[in-house]
Amino acid sequence: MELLVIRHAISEDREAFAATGKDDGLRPLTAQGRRKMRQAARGLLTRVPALDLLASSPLTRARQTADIVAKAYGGTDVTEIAQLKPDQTPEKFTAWLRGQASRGVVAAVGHEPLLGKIVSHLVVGRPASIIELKKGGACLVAFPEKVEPGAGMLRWALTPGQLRDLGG
Amino acid sequence: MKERHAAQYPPDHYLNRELSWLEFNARVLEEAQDPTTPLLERLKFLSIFSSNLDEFFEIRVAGLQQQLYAGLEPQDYGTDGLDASAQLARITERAHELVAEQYRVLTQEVFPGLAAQGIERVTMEQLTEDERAHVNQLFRTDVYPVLTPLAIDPGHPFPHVHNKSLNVALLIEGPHRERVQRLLGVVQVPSVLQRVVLLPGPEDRLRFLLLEDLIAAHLGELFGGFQVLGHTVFRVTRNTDLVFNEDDAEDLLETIEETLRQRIRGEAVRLEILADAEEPFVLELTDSFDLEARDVYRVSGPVDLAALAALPRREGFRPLRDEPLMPRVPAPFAGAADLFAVIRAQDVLVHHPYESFGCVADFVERAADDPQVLAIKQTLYRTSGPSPIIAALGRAAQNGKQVTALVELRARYEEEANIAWARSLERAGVHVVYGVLGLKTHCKASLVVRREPDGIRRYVHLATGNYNPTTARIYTDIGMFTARPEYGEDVSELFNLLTGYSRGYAWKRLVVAPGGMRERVVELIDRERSHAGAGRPGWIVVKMNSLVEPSTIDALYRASQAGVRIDLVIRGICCLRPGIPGVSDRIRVISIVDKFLEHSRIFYFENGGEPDVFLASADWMPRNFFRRIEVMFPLVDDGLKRRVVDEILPVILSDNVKARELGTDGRYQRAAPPPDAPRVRSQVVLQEVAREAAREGERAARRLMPESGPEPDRSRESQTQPEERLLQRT
Repeated sequence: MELLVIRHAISEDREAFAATGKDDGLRPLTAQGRRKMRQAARGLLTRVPALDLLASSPLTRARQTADIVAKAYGGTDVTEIAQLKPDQTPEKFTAWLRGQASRGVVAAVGHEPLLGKIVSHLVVGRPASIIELKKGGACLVAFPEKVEPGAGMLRWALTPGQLRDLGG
Repeated sequence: MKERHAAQYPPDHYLNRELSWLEFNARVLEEAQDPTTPLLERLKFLSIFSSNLDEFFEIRVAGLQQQLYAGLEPQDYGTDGLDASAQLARITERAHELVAEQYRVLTQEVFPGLAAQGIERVTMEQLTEDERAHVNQLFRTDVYPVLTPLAIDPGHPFPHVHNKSLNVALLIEGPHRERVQRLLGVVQVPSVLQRVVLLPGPEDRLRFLLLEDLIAAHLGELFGGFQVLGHTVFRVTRNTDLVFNEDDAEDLLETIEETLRQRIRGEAVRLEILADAEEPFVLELTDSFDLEARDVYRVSGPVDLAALAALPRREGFRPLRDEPLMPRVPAPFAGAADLFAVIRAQDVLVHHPYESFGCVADFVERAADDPQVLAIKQTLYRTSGPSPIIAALGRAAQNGKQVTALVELRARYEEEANIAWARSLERAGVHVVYGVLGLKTHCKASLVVRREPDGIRRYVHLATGNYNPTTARIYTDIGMFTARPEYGEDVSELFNLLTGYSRGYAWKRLVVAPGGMRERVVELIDRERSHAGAGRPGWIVVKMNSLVEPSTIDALYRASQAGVRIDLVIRGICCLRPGIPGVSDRIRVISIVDKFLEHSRIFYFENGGEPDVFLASADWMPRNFFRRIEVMFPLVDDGLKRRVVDEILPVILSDNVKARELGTDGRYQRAAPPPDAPRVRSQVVLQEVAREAAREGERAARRLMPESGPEPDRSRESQTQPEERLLQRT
């Protein structure tokens, strides 16, 4: 199986949004963030032609990112899962991912630093930070055999700028 | 080429190379902080600090970000165990601290100090009527025609902002697509124009305006029909690492097209912006360049101080600068009509910039015009024409000699204009070779083959520094002329290697990298360890720019553990951690940062009383040992050895003005001499040595040396003071 990890795109400023009194979980993408993500999603499609599951953190900025990806992939459904919320642990996500082992490609849209920890946990099997995704950046972790900590291989990681270049 | 020698000691025995480099730049900043440094020189150091930091971000920080964001493997692993994420965090913290201090020094000390002396930066508001009329005229005639104002439509991608270009960003409001809109605008400050705009006035005063201020004052004209709500100045630094490590990136290359490699190089790594920039500018720019908050440097003065180097370069204001440099003619060449006769009679050591680089240019120039000379072969690393050496090579070829120039360009994608001189050499008939595939030619060698009554004789010049007359005035370097046949044979073979015709050859004198230099260095260190083990005094002195390669650091640790006394004079990066009990407590590390950039590389091995002295083009870094062609060569002439051992090294080792000592914690402290001890500023002493030597035609070093070498607290030492031992031996 393969796991496509995507960080949410550029969202509105945290402090400015806090001033509106709304919960940070509702903070949306900016117009520029949406535009750049649409282009990057087209780039993702050139690397990963099809998804079997598209999971997202329930927070607005992640969900909006997932929706953009879903659209690029022809209208895939988005599944919100709590294991991608910012306060979760890599272990909890891995436990969830094991349950998806029968699927070919699982995409996960979420937040840093959790995503970097998840990738490190899956690739090196211990707490480390081998990678950090920029907003709208993505990487692909492959599991040649079992889905378990340390069994993953980092196939590639692309910055949002590179994804946009691929997206034309 | 993978030549990784795993470190043998625990990670906490090594210092991080990036953080160590930042500490080097902190020492450059100290020179700007130093109130005893003349004001224009302080400004120069502030500017050097900036250009150093630019390169650090373009290459090192970019490399770390690439590792972190793209999962790339580093070219060389650090021995200190810090991963990319931790390194970036610590670099960010230290770099922000240093940049804040740089701008404090500029705005609170250097600018006010210069203003008091008649050199003043003014803003548009401070201009007199006449000055305003002058600059407005200048704007219309010279500036306006080369500006490209861009209004950024939210529906379109942000325009490309060139690496290190200076830009004015502005917020404008006005009718756009049939309704009133707020838009961002960007105007690049043209790099073809002088950033420092001098105002007309009396000669003893210098008032200047910065070009971005002039442009900012005319933004309304540039964006007609719009109202300008606010503006700021910013600059983006991008990844320009040209050495894409193909070995380590195979997996990546399987999946990514060639064009993306270019994109990796171009990614933004840092945003510099005025401290008072309004928040929307910062947010918009960080988002546009895919940057994180940590990559933003808000500066409390002009963005990009490198451009201010133009001021110290101007004539006048003598008291605000260092004493002028007066290089001396090396004594053996003084008054000698036949340079080749001098070299035939004796080896000659030349110590730049104290001694003139002119004799090196002379060597090539005379060879070019000498009817007896048959061939000249010459390495040229990062040379930019025009230079007397390049002119001489062209002339020599036209005179019918065999001329080979081994040219190492600064970059693989060198601009056409920069290689024009290399092409002109080719047209003159010089055989120009552009280096060995995959290896940079970093060694500095020149060979003259001459027909003489007793047969063919080879004359050689080998050095630690480049054949560049400009840097020869600001870098300390050492070179040697010799006509010894074994050097001539070795250097002939070196050029064969460089031009691609080498076969198995046993070097007689030279130690060449790749292919044995690292091993030879470790052997020499281990030999010292054996001497110490056998009860003979062991002592190693190494002066160079960077110490990074783990197996040489480990050899030094082993030697220290065996009782060898080790003095390291490392100007820049030092990953060796001194003072670890039982491991490196006999190792002292100092760094000299002064008006000349320390660049000479000298290695001294006591060898049980039969000292060996080497000079080299290489530092002890993986790139020098494994990815470049480098040369280390011994001094065999007793007089030359004595000069290094008795004159040069003792002065350097006793510097207590510009030397800083590296502590076990990785921090550098200035040597604090006792109040009555003589102050030794090695670069000034060595200037005096050269002057005296030139004046009297003989060595005068001893008289100039302090009576007893001042020593930092070395109570743990039981040996006699080594500087004295050096001085006693003749």
